[in-house]
Amino acid sequence: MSGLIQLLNSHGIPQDFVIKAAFYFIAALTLLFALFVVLSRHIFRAAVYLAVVLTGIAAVYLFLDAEFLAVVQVLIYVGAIVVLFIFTVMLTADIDSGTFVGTLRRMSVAAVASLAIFFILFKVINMVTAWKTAVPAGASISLSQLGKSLMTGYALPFEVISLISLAALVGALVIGKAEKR
Amino acid sequence: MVIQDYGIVGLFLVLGIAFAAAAFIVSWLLRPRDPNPVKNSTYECGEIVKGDSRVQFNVGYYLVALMFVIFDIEVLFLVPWIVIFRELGVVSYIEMMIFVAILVVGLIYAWKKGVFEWQ
Repeated sequence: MSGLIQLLNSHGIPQDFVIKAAFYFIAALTLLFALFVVLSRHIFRAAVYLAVVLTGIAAVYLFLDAEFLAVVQVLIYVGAIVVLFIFTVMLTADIDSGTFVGTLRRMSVAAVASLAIFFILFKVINMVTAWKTAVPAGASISLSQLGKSLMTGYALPFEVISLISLAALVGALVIGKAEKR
Repeated sequence: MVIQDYGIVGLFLVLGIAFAAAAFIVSWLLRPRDPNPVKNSTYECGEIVKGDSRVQFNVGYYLVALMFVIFDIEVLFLVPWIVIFRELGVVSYIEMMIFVAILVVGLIYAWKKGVFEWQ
């Protein structure tokens, strides 16, 4: 990787500029695909676009120095949740056969509802925190630091995660199997 | 900053997409445009196409997908462990084995419940 930076520096391109340009490109792409998710008339395509959006958010996490969160985002949200969405679409008969056409009434109600949620979130975020544009110094935790605290200080909560996952697994199977028979 | 280390990942991503896109663009530029109904039909390994690609899937897949989500979380917690495994040695190994063993109980339960049997 340092070779790549050297290559950029030798051509007079500052590293800061590259990072900023990459961020704006990824952010724009993420927003574009988020629009596709909402505007797509096919629910299956919307699920695939959602995978792109979630990957873009993972990249934004990397820009914020949140390495583990980025791994979570790709592994759990892109890898598992979107797959679950796609499976749900595949399992439901005829969900994708016709395209959905919204009526003006429905669209206006949806617009009001989403605008209301937007303003509530905007207000709350504005009240609680200032708009920060950079990661504060010392705020980032590396993957190895996280692993170390998980294995030493937080060993018991770590094992409890496993138990909770087990409970979720058994619960999902009990409900899933019961509905089948 | 972490982001510099991921520059190479971004480079691979861009090159990967560019490679796939280039294959489509080059073939689009080179191929003759002479469509006919047989040529436009869906290619299914040379077999005659049966029905639509949109079919209802077996419900059994959904249970496997649910299990996948749980074991995906397990893999997630393996990631920070791998990074420091050499440093912490046997203790962290035992901790992780307990973690995995608890989830293996769930796997055995699913096995006994017949999630992996297909009708």
